[in-house]
Amino acid sequence: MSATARNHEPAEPIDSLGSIEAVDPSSAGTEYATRGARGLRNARPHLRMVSPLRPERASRGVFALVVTGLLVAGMVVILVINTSLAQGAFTISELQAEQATLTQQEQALSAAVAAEAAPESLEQQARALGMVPSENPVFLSVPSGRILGKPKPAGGATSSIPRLLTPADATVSEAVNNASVGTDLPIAPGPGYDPAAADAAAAQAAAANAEAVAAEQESAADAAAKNGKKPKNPTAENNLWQDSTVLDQTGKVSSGDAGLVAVPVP
Amino acid sequence: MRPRRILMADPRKRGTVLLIATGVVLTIFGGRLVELQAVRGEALASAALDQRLRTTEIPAQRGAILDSSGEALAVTMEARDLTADQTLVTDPAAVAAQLGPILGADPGVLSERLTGDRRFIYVAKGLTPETWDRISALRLPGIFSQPTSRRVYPAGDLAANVVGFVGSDGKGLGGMEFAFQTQLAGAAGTQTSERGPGGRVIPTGANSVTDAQAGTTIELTIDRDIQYVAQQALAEKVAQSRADSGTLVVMDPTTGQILALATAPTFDPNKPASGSDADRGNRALTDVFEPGSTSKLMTLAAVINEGKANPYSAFTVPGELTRGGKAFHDHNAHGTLHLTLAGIMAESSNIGTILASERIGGRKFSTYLKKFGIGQPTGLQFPGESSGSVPAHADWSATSFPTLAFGQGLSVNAVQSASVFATIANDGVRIQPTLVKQIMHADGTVDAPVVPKTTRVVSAATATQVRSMLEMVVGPGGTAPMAAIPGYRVGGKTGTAQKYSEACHCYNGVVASFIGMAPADAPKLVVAVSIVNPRVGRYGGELGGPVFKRVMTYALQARQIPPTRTSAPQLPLTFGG
Repeated sequence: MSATARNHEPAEPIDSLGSIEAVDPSSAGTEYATRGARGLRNARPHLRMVSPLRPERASRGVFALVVTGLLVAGMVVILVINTSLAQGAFTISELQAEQATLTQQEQALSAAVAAEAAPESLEQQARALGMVPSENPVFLSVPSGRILGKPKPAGGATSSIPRLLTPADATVSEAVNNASVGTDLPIAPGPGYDPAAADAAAAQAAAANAEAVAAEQESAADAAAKNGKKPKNPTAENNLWQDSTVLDQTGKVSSGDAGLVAVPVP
Repeated sequence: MRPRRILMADPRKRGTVLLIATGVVLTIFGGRLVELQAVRGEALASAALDQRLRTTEIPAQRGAILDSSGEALAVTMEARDLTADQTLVTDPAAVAAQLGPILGADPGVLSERLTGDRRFIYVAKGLTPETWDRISALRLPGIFSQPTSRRVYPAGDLAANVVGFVGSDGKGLGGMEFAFQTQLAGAAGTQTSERGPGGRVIPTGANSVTDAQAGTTIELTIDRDIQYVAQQALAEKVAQSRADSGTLVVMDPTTGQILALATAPTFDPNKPASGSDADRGNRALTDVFEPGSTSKLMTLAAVINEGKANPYSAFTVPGELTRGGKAFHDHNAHGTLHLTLAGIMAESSNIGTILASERIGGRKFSTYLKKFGIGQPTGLQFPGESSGSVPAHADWSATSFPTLAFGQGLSVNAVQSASVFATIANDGVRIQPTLVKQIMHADGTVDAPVVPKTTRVVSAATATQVRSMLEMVVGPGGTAPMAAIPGYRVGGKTGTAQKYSEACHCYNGVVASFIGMAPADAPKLVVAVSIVNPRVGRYGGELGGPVFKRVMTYALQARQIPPTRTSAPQLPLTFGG
């Protein structure tokens, strides 16, 4: 705006000069030119109105155009800024609403998990699987292979589920690692386990281990031979039946199910 | 006309008039400007801002209450309060009929709440967001909702008597919810922003937010798995013996931490109205009873610690003993017995205990009671806690000492009782019981754990001797063989005390208890069971013993405490006199 204005400033003096220029220099009194133009028309050289200089008219048009253009551009910019700000506000509300929905979902899901993981619900689920609380706490000391406590077959519950999962979910290496920090892991004695032989078994633990491992390998080999292919998950298959009699299949039992022992169902 | 004439006539005059008129107008404008901007400026600007500024409260998230492994016992979830504008509800009965099944409320009551001229009324509080979604989908005119929060106890009645509950305003009314109300609640924040008529924030306007300070999270020492087994075992025994109530305390004697604190009957904190006031409190801390025979532990420990007897000391115990003009008896009538101190403990002889206590005298005995924490606050600062009482030595009558020696005439709560055994279990050092493991602030900082007060009550040697005597109680000749756990060394003491009733100022009913520890040679756990007013069964051994066994068996596995593989000493209970 101001730059354009400055460009046009010289046009004004030119404008007034142009009017003066239009008066014939030979004429006597310039003042007559304005006083009585009509009377003097014949006697004197023609006085005529000069049209303003062309460049002046053109510059006005450009000026108006530029000003309008700037005005429009300014308004558009303001509009865009306002729109983007408003858009931002809308986005914020939308995202806040989405966050609220997700928070609700998250809370509903954690509540569902908490309800499932509550001790009461865990007990019900374990009992439905045929598990019962262990009556005597028994621990297996991994370094020595000694059994601590008096194992007793868990009594009672039967289940409609033919095969049972065992609480044994620790690998031997895990058990040994745990043992190295001095932790004795509870194991689950199964029916048919001879409490009287428990201490004697300690001495024979190594042999029993070897036998068990051999038996395991044999059964795996048998299965492989029968199916003509390797069983999909031999460890899981064996765990189903050899939970507590295999000494190295110690059960690392988490706090949620520590009191539960698998009972094979006749 | 005149101004026009002047205008025509005198341009100079016209100019003057115009100047004056303009001057007048500008002066008026200027004056108004000064008035608006300078005089009333501030007031008007702030009034305008006030019209746009809205301050809303940002509610603070209430802190959670967790168990010792961080599992949630109490959490806060988003919820909706259902509100209504009665003037917009055209057909209250129809709306109530639609809302009734969703809210699980009586449509008649709802209809009443929806009828009237009130522009705002609460219809239901604390709906889950899903419930509100279902209601909002019905597009009922005049039914609105407000966001709020809801306290949820995911495990239901688990540890309800410790955790407590909140009222409809979300403020804690019982248990830890009440004790830690200020910390749990946090501080609400505010958002002040310029808003348009539609309530949307004006982006360029003033906007200031003070964030809400979320409440602290309280982590308890309670182990929810042990707590669950304790509650189950206790509730079954209370129901089976048709008792009034029962309490169960599981304590780690080496730290003083309470791992489980169960009471029966209990209540569901999600519906606090489901229980009576007594059920909602914590009987293990609010109810006091006379400890009876479990108190003999303190008496005999004091005698041993003073060097006046050892487990082998021989006492000739007559069938009846008169002190202060009152004849004292044992629970089973007997002739003269020749019992060792271990035998007095194993057979829970009142007369034997009185005879032993007389070797140290009443004054000394009363200092031991104090050191064991009798009549003192537990330090848990639990709402409604009762410290029990023991008469001051100066106020004793002639029968006070013998009565106190075998656990009558003084009162304790269940945690105090457990703490006495924990002291013996912890080699004679009493550690103040704790229920709060740590306090975690919203910013992630954790308060340094409070170091519990410890007091040496008896020597380690005394504690070892007392524990070996406690093992005899669970042995074949004792009063609680049913508390024995195969493979483990277990020590404990039965108690069957008469219960003093404040209502009739008389002895009315009994409290049967069993308090024990395992493994007895290096105790890691103490379990205290009390059954109040059983109607089937009477003795602490038969009622408390099996509950003790079940809870201790589970707790030993849960805490991975193996047997010690040592054998219990066989102390002589009688001597050939």
